[in-house]
This record gives sequence, structure tokens and C-alpha cells, in this order.
Amino acid sequence: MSKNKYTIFLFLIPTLVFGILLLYFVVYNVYYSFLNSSATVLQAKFVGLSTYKELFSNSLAVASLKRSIIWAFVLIAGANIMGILFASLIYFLRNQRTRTVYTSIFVYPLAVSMAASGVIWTWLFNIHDGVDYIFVRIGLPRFPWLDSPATAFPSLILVSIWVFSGLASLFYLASFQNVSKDVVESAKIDSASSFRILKKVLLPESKNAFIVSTAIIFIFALRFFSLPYVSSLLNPYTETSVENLYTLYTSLSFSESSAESVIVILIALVVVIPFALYGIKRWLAND
Amino acid sequence: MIKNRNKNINSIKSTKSIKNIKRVIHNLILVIFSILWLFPIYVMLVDGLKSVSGVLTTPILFPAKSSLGPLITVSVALARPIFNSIVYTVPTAIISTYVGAMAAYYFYKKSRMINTLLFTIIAIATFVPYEITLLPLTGFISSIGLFNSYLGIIIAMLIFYLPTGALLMSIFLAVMPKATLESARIDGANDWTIFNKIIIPLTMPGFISTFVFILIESWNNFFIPLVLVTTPGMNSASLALMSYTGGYGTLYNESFASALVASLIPLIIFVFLGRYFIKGFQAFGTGKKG
Amino acid sequence: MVSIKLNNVSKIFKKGKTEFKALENINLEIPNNSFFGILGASGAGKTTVMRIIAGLEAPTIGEVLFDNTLVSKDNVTIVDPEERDVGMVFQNWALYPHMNNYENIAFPLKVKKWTQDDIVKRVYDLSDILGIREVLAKRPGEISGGQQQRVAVARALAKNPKFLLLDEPFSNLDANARDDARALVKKVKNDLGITTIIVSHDPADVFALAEKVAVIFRGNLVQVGTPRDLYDYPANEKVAGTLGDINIIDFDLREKNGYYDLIFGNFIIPGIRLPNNYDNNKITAGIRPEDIIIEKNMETKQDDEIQLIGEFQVSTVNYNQGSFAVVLNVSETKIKGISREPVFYGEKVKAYINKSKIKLFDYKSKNVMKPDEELAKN
Repeated sequence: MSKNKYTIFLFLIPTLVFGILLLYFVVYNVYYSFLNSSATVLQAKFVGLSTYKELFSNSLAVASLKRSIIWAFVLIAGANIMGILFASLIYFLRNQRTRTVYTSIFVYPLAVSMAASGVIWTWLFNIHDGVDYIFVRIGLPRFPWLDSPATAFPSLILVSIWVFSGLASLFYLASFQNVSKDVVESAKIDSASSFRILKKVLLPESKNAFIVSTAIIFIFALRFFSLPYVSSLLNPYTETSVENLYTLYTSLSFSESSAESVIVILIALVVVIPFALYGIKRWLAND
Repeated sequence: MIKNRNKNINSIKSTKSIKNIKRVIHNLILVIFSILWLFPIYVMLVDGLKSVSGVLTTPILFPAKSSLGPLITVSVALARPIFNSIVYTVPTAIISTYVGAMAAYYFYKKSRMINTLLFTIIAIATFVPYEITLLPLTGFISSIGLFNSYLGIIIAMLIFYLPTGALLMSIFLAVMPKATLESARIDGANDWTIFNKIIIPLTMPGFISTFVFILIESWNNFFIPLVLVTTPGMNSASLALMSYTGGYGTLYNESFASALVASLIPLIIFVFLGRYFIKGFQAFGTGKKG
Repeated sequence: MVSIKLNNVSKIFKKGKTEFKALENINLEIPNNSFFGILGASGAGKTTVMRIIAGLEAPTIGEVLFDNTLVSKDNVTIVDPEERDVGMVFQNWALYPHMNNYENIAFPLKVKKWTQDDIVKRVYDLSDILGIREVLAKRPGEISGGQQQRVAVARALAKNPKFLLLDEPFSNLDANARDDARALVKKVKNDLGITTIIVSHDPADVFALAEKVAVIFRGNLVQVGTPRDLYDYPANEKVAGTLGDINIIDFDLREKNGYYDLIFGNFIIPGIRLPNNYDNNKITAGIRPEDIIIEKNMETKQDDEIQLIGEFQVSTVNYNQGSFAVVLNVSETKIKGISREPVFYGEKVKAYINKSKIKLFDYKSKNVMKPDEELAKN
């Protein structure tokens, strides 16, 4: 055997160690969720599924899990719609530079931290000095935004749509640009309207963009923490599941926090595993 | 005849004007959405530079007398957190990209079943929502004595961003012709030489994309510093924003100034290296160079 | 300088569950200092042979020896390509696009830790031989294909390799550059006396360069010999086709005084001798286009070998370097011949055939049968 066969393996080891550590963390959570570790228990012991029972009787935890899923779905719908809109508006621009400028405008929120977005939008949602200032001046009713339990959560969803629409538009734009120029040109010569080209030529070719943006946004949505945390700290009406598991952790309900982690990871894996496999097929196809 | 011609000319004129109207509407929609999307930037600049008297007399949406006061106050307060963020994220991004590229080189060179499995593990690890590792992560970092330390944060970030680096670099490496690697082997180069002298220079655009992507993502990571440091002197820039969230009685100019200062580095990177960031995101999603 | 030996080499590629046998039981010896050609259609396995010699692949079964040192055996690479000390020119040259041409040629020397002075001298010497001194400061992307190829040859030769491998080295060049490149490779090989192996699908490459040629067909080594041997006495129908354009026709046989007429419609070749034990009423014959002489007005002198066999209708004509490639329509089949004068579509033309150049193959096995003169001699 030649020595090089072993040196190449050294290239993989660091990444493998960290990757396995991460997966070990996930497995550790599963183990821990079967214990009853909390501030009130001196010696944690194996209790089977009873921590999960406790978790599911915790109305805040259940509500936060539901909220995370709803957030993911509403954001997926909103960001995909806005993404398609932006992608088509940009696609039909002629000038490459203008395209780049508009793309950057719609994508830049991704570069701003969700915490900073939280700070900014909390003030914009301020019912005296924020956008309500204009609403009142032009005779509209004052919208309660973060101040009312009913509107606080939808308000944050709006912020997340502001953040992620640009991302969805990137994937759609890439799909549109993959469609052969000749097909689009010949449709134009047949004097098809832009709207018709979009509907008949571009969108049918955008299945991949839809899958990718949906999966990626779902994964990001499950991670939402700092936006609700910064903008409405510990507001039970905006709390996400990862926020709730943090709250459980800080209130020393360790096993319950782990159990909620396991639920979140299970929800994530429903999307992550098929998506990773789908992606791998494409990555390997690159060979 | 002449009438007919006039009619034709008129119809050509009218289709032309319809086209113009369409173009105007098209651009108008884009401009309206751009204004909406840029609004937070506008308020950050206008209100982050507003004097106290301006804050008391004007609403957020309108400009007023400007002052560098809030910016200076906030910058002084955020200097340490920003320094901390640089210490947390720059090594994280460099190591994740470089060491991730090493793993990518491994996958590029070897393509066997077992490696597809390892690659799958790394891909899944990339997409795991890191918040769920809260308990084991804090336990692990404390147990190796790195709670409240720079190294602890960097290690924690590497756990999440190294698989990302490996995944992205694998995608960027996949398009390199295999013959280049083989020709370097024939030329007598070992793996280390091939990696540093051939692979890294040839994938430089992808390397930059991966670096920028991880730098911005880790800069904006709120959660890891939140759970791994308790002393205020170790706060990251995002974390330090917590003291400016506002509410009634606070002056909003400092809130906007803080958001501006804390976002300045990622925004500057975005302005200059935005296309790399976008390519990074596209690769992250579609597995393509974008 | 080294001789190369392949013993019972087979190579099987697996893609998912399907197996693909790229090479089957290849035995080959490439003598020291020779210019050796490996010829085959694309996908025949010839590049795999070269990659196994270079060490980029290990044979699934079998062994590879350099002189008498085992370098790989039964799926194990014993000596890695980086230690085999071979020079290789890739099909698309695989130059490093981020380095200039000087750095490309110097790369194998830097890896070997030559001193700076030695590197400079070696790169300049080679550049002078190959005529690329002026482009050393440019990058590969900034020079012509022919120059890129010279840079690739220089890089392959830089470290004084034991032997040189050329993988389809001319296929990315246009026709003119190709002739120059062949001449240059021949000169370099003669000047440096290095064992050289060229892999190609183009018979012109091996005719121009190789002293000995191995023909590979569907993973099997079918024949080894000098280019002339292979051209005139191909082992079977497939080798005949690999070495150049050839009409392969199945004829009916009719005996006449111990000789046979080969009959295909009205295309009849009289007076052919067959082995006594041939017991089929059909036979496969290969006739190269240059052995079917087409005439309209000119008169070709007939003799024992060259005989007029009839008049046929022209189907298509192509002008090709001083002669006309004519396709005749014979019983719904196209037969290619050569004319020295222009003929046109639809015309009736005379066809002569050079009987001594007809290759006869067993109808069942498609393997070659000795031509009749040889039979007469034996």
C-alpha cells in the first residue's frame, strides 16, 4: 500500500470529527429527553416518555411548536410569491447592471442580522412614531402591530418575508435563466406577453427553484430565534419553538428542553433528509 | 390606400406607446418595492444620525436635524462587542472554509459508496437547526473549560460552520476538471501540494463565496454567543443590540445607530462582495455554482 | 528509460450495480526506447490502458511491471503515479490555468525540489527545443492550441521521465497544427530517445509516429504489429475498420476450376483462391476504398492484380486532397472507391479492383484468412 492512501484521509478527519460531534449532540438530546433532569430533581433517572407527556401538556411549548410550523408555512408561501414576483420583474429587465442592482436590493436583508432587523422593525412598528404615524395622518386606523396579541405574530412574519423574499427570488431567477434564451426569444417573436411567457415558459421550468427555496426557507424558519427574542422578549404570543426550548433550559427544565429539541429536529429531518438526498443526487451528477 | 397606411402607422404607434406604458409600469413596480425594501436602511441612516431634539419633535419616518452624537455614543459602547465579533467570526470563517475545502478535496478525489454516506452526514449536519443542540453544546463547551471564552465560541461555531464549508466547497470543487488533479499527480505533487498550489488557487472564487457566506452567517449568529458567554465583555455585536431594543421612554436614535453600527461590517462586505455572498447562497440551496 | 509489461490485465468499472468491463485480459510488452501506439475507437479501453500504465487506475486483475518492478497488481497501486516518474500529455493538455507557461513547465521540477538555477536552465532548454520561449510569460489561456500542446509536452518532459504518455494529443488541434505537432513529437522522441506511448483513435497518428501498434477493440487486445502489417493484414474485420476506411461486404461464392467468384449483386470479383477447407457458401471481404479504382474516361491498365469488374452508378462524390471519393450504388448498398478524375452524381462509371489487397474474413468468425498468394506459397 502506498503512503498517500492514508494522507488523503487526514484531509477529511477535522470535518468528520466536527460533523460527528454535531450528530452526537443530536443523539445526546434524544438520550437526555428520556431522563427527568430539572432543577427540582437531584438525581436524574430514566423515565421513558414521561418528559414528552409533560412537554405536550405544557401549553406554551405546544403553542410555540405550532407557531414555528405556521411561521414556516406562511413564510414559504409569502417568500415564494414575492420571490417569483421579484424574479420575473428582474428577469424581464434588459440591462444586466440594473438587474444586479435590484437583485442586491432584495437580497441585502439576508446580510443584516435578524437581531438588527428586530431592533429596526420594533421601532417601525411603534404605534406612535412608526408607520402608524402616517396611517393616522392619512386617516387610517392605528394598527396595533406588536402591541396586540393578535397582530404581534403576523407582524414578525412580515419582517421575515422582508428578509427571505430576495433569497427565493435568487433561486427562481437562476431557474428562469436556465431556460433556453431561444425559447423565450421565439415566444417574444410570436408576440406573447411577458406575463404569458412567465406562465407558459418560465414557471413550468421552475420546479427545482420551488423545492430548493421551500426547503431552505423551512430550515431557516425553524431556526428563528433572535427576531422574536429581540423585538418582543418573552412575549408568549410570538415565541418560537427554539425560543421556548431556550426558555425551558434557562428555567432549568433540562429534560423538557431536550425533548422539545428532539421534536424540532424530527420536524426538521422530515425536510432535511429528503432535501439532502435530493441535493446529493445533483452534486454527484456534477461529476 | 393613404387612409390604410395612416391606420397602419397609427396602430404601430399605439403598440409602441402600449409598450412604453408597460415598461413604465414594470419599472414603477420595481421602484416601489425597492423603496419598501430599502426603508430600513433609510431609517437607520436618518434616525441613527438624528439629534435628540429631532427625536423629540419628528417621527421616525421624517428626517430632522442631524447629529453624530448617537453614532459616537453607540460606537463607543459597541466597540468591544464588534471586536469580539471579529475575533469570533474571522477565524471561524477562515478555518471553516479552508478545512472544509480539505474535506471537499477528499470527496473530490475519492468517490466511493462509503464517501457518499460520509458526505450525506455532512450535508445533514449542515442543515441541522443549531439551536436544538443547546444543552449538549453548553455542556460540552463547559466540560472542556471554554465557557465564556473566545476559543469556546470559535469551537462551537466550527461545529456548525465546518460542515457548511465542506458542503459549499464540495459544490465549488465539483466543476474542476479531474484531469488537472491527475496531471498534478503525474507531475509528482503530493496531496498537500496539489491542495495548496492547484485546488485552492483554482477554486478561489468559490473559496471567497464560502468565506463570505460563513463570515456573514456567523457574524449574525445570535444564539451561540447568547448561550456560551455570560460576562458582558464577551458579548458579540448582535448580542449587544439587546440593550438598544427600545420600548417606551428610550430614544430611538440610539437604537437605529446601534443597528447601523452592528450591521456595518456585514453590509460593507455585502456591498463589495455581494455577488460572492449570493453565489454562496445559491450553492447552499441548489448545489450549483450559480 | 524503461520497458513496460502488462500481464493479464483486466479492468472492471462499477457504476452503481452495473459492471462494465473496460479491459479484458490484456498482455502487452512495450520495449525500451520504442515509439508505441495504442489504437482503438472511443470507448474501446485504450485510454484505460494508458491510465493503468500511468498509475491513475489500478488493474482490477493482473499486474503492471516497469522493467521488472511490480508497480500495480490486482486492484492495488503499489507505486503511486506521483512516484512513477512518467510524463503524460493529456487529451486537453490539462495545463494549470492559474500559472503562466513557465510556471506550468517548472511545476514538476519545483515539486522535485530542483534548485532555482537548474529549473531555469531546464525550462529554457525545453522551450527552445519546442519553440515556445516567447510565450513563457503568458498563461495557457492566452496562447494557441498548438502552443498549449507544446507547453504540455514540455511540462511532461521537464523532469526527465522514464517514459512519455500521449493521450489523444492531437485531437484538439486543427489539421495544419496537427501535422506540425506530429513532426515535433517525432523529433523530440528521436532527440531524447525516450520510450513513448501514444493513444489515439486516429490511424493517421500511429501511421505517422508509431513503430509498433496495439489495436484494442471493446476491451480486448486484438492485434499487435507494425502499422503496415496491421493495415495490410488486419486480424479481423474490426481491426481493418479501426485502421482506416474499408468496405466490408458479404459475398456469395461460386466455384470455377478451384478458384472462386465473389458475387454481390452485379459486383463480381472473379478468380479468388480460398483455403481448401473453407466450407461456407458465403464469405466476408474487406476492400479499402483506394483499392477500388473508379474511371469515367481514363483507362487503367489491367493486369493479374487489377481487373475491371463492371459499370456502376455514382451515388455521391466528395473531393478529398487530390482525389475523388466516390460512393457507388450496388444493390442498395454503398461501396466506396477512389477516382483521379471528377465524376458526377448519376453517371455510369467503370470500377477496377486490386485483387491482391482484398482482405478475406471467415464468414462466421470474421477472422482473417490468409490471402491467396500466401496460400499458393505455402
